[in-house]
Amino acid sequence: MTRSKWRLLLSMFAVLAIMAIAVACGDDDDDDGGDDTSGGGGGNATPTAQVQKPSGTITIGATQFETWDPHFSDFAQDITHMVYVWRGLYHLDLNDKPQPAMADGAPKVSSDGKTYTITLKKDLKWSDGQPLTAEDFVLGIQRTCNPDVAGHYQYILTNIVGCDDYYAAADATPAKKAELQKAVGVKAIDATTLEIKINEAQPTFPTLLALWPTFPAPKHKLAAVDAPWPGPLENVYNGPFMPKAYTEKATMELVPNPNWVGQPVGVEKVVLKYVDDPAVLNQAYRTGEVDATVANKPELDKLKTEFAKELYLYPATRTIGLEFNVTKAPVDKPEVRLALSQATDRTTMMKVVFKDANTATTSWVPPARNGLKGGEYDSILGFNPTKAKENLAKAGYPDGKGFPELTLLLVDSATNKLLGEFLQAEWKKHLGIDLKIEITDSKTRSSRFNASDFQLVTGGWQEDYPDPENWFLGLWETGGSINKTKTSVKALDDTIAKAKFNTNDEERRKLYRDAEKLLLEQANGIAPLFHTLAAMLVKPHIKGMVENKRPGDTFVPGDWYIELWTTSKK
Amino acid sequence: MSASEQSLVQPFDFAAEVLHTKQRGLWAQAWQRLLHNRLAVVSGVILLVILAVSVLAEIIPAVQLHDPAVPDFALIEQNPSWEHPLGTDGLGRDLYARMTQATLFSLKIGIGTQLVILLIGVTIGMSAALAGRVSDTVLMWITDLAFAFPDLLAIILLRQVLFGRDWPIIGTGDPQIPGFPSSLLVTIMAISFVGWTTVARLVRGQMLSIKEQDYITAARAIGASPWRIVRVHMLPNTLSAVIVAATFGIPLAIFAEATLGFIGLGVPPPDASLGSLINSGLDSIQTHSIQLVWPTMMVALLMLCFTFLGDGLRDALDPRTRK
Amino acid sequence: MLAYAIRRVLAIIPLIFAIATITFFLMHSVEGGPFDADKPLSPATKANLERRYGLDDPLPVQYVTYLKNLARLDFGISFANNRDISDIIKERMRVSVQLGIAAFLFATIFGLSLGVISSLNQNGLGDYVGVFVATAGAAMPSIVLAPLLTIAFAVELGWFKVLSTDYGFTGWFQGDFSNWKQVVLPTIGLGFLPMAFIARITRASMLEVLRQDYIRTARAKGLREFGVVMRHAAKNALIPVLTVLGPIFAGLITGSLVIERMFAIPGLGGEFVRSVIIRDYGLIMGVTVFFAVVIAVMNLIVDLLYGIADPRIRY
Repeated sequence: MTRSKWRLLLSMFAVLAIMAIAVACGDDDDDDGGDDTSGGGGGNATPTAQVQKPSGTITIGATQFETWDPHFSDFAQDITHMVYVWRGLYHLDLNDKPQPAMADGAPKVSSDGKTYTITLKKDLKWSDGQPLTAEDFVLGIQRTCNPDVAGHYQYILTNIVGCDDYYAAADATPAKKAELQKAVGVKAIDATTLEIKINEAQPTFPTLLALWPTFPAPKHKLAAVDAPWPGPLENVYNGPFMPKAYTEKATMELVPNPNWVGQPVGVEKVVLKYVDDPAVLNQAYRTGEVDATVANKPELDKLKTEFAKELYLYPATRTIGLEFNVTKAPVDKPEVRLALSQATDRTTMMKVVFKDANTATTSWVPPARNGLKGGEYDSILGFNPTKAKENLAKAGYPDGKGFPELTLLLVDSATNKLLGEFLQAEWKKHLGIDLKIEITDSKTRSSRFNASDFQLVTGGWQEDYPDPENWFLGLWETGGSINKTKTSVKALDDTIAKAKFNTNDEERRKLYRDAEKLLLEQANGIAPLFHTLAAMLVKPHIKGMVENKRPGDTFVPGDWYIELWTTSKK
Repeated sequence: MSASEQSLVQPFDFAAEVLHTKQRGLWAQAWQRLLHNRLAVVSGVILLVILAVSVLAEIIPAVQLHDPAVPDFALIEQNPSWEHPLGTDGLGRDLYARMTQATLFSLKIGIGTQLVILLIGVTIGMSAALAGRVSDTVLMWITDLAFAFPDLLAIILLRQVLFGRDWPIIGTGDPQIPGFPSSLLVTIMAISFVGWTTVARLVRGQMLSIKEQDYITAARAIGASPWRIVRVHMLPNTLSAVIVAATFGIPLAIFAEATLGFIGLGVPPPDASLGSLINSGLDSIQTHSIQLVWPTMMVALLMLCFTFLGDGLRDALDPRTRK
Repeated sequence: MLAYAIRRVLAIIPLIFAIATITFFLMHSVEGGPFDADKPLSPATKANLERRYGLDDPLPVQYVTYLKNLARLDFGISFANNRDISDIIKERMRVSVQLGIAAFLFATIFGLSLGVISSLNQNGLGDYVGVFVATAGAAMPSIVLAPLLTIAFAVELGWFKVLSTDYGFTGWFQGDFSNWKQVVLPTIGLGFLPMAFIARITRASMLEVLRQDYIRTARAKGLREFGVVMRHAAKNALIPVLTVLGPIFAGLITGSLVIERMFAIPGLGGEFVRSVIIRDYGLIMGVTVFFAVVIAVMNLIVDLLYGIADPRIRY
């Protein structure tokens, strides 16, 4: 009996081992061949595709949206859904320039730059056949400014006359609210003419008219400005597609909107599969259950060989770095911040921790956005153990002696743990200091960050709209509304103030480049580590996605141009 | 699991032996029976070896061959070699060294959790069974409450209440008890605070059942003091079931810790548990699966050994199933 | 016995009330609120949001409002997507309950069969197969088992699908079996551990019973082996198994979060984790209360079964 039980044990482990080998069957060395790391711009600015009759179905991996309300939401996955089904007055092209969508041509701007007059295309209709008028656009902007809707992105419309006052009037009487609503500087002159008044001439304003907070709201579906926003199957649409079937957390089916006025769509149906785990999505891509999806970054090495021709890596507009609370010792000393940055070997970090799914940097604004090449701050912040040691000694901690406790706050994930362990090892080796790591869930981390209750976090910024100002306003001015690192540099404040409503575009951009220098030369608040890359998998039978990729893509390349997708698979 | 143990350990025949042999004799007999169960002995020996290696590794660094915390970026994700018998991980750390560290950490979690659970569970279960109707009702109500309370919320909360604050024993910074860093103690507390209810119920049920046995009535009739009845007759009979439950509970606690890591509540670096190794291994399941294989095998091995040992203990402590 | 049962059923009400209360205050004491976004919100936005969802009221006021609504089984709306929480729970529950029942049936049927076959062939081939499956099942955590199942049976062999977003059996009753490729792996993944557990208990319990004198008597009477096993042995051996089925069932309904994530199934377990992570207070409360009811009821059933299984326990 005992002998056979022994055999049993052995066979048990044999099976475990076989399972292990079965899983291990792809242990090859990585090879950089095939991936495309070129920028989002490309040659032609206006996306095009040859389209006959819409045909075929494309199934993509997606993330369940939180809310369907474009005037409320700020989640990336929500916004991606919204540009599938709604469009604003303008739409951003591949060079991030606003091009007419619902508007008929560019806006007429008054000589002082404060009044925009926009004409709509003729005979616009919602997907239910009801006319889409200037009133609907007025209602859309009013909704974003409405205090009871409490839109997350109201801050980008603060320059519209009366928007802030309305938004701040949460406790006012209904009559007062109605009055403030009317006072918001957006009016329908007639059914196809819209007038918007802003406080200061703002060069980036046309861009904002391409974003979700200014999307139209169907007046015939909403009894009041703060009425509940209808769900996916009850709502009406003016974008290329519209939902036909929807099961929360499972799937959504999009079909062409018959009243879409833009470029005719190329596919009969787009199916979104809602999956939380990118590793699971990649398996579904392998079996062909989805045609396009984000790639699971920890698997990147394998994907590079397995899907050499189907994997696309391209820059996303997101920068992550070491964020310092500049009021807390020891990172209140510029020398300490510089030492920590200089003791971090970013190139090795990218390779080891991120499998080259991100690009090392020392810049804050992604190079594509401010006209620089990148690497301008390498000599200040880049890896240099000797300088790091000197700086630490200058701060009063030679060889890390007497260095106070320093805690890095991290959100729990396998990659973040690896990142933390990497920094622990690097700083111990080069500076002789012990880094403590605190792992929390994301809300705890956000809450500590928002209360400036931290010494060191890894974090940064994901662009809301394509302009350098989005990388500074509110973030780095003394007392800025979302300045949680408590950064306060007089020269930086002055430069940002000078740039903010500067109508000379060239000068404006130069001022933001100066601001970046002022921000980074003493690692005030941040020492950038990397820009993230978008990593996407697309089957070869799909056209129109990778040709139209943009830095902001969330689910698949070409998220902003769903009308241009085609498939040759029947 | 506990429920089955309860009905399998039927104390009736046991009682005859209890009445005729002294306590020491009883345990000695159980020990003898355990030694005759080869599978249990082998499991016990394997467990002792694992424990010895991982404890030695913590005391004598040479046993680990490499420092588990020191990365070598030139040697990331290596397959096993003479230099690195189990290969290296994503930062180029030696997996054998990491495994010894993680195994010890997980064993501490498993055993520590069961000790805390036993302490709470036996106290509450015994009080409920013996201290009268009112306290039974109240204690069982509390047990039901703790049982029906969602574990996940309780664990997140406990972690936040306990972590990073300067509590006695748990503390922050350097461990106040050598070898028991605060992340370990917090994990132990979190798992045992939601896990004691089963043992409490088991003990209560067992004691209620024994209370009605003829030999207890007999003992009472010949004038034994209540404390003596509890100590000599009831506690030992209950204990055997509880020990078995605890043996099965150790690997379950190790599993639970792994699941916590999966939902983002794992132990922070530089500490590592088998659960955290499994979770980082899952990320490389397609690329460097050896990183997943070792901790999974170790968890499986621990699970098997504790299960066989538990089976052996149950057979040994219940003479009726003797061959 | 009946009085005891009624008393226990009534005791569930204060139990739920206590759990709701504790959860409410604990939840609000957890660091980080629903509007602590990754990307900080401007103070004006945060204030408007808190006002919109009544989070600007003092905590005791919120608590009273909450209890009033709870009495009407109204959990309010979710902060994340403005949907009615009762609707969310209803939708998710349908999936989780189907998954739980399927896994439960799988675990019970195969677990019992394996256990009985093992015990009848003690130390024979059937026993070793049974013991092997039972032990292997118990030795692998589901976070490892689930991806292995996917890789082996969906990716490599292509027998089943990776995504089980359409998990469910409601279509089956109308003769639509199109999603059969989606239901197999999650059911096995969730049911494997309890199956192994049930098999172990059944085997041990059967061996125990088969040694009893009355079985010997039955055999001596010349009854057919099958009759002995089914009528006498199995019936008695099942009692200890019955008592563990309650917690197993409750565990399957409430503990499917790993499987849900690994197979992309829209169930309640995943929703609960998410609600805790994003601090969606109303949803946390709703799911907690729902889970608490499930667990309390299962617990009650087990306790009543104890009474039936072991008549020596008196209440």
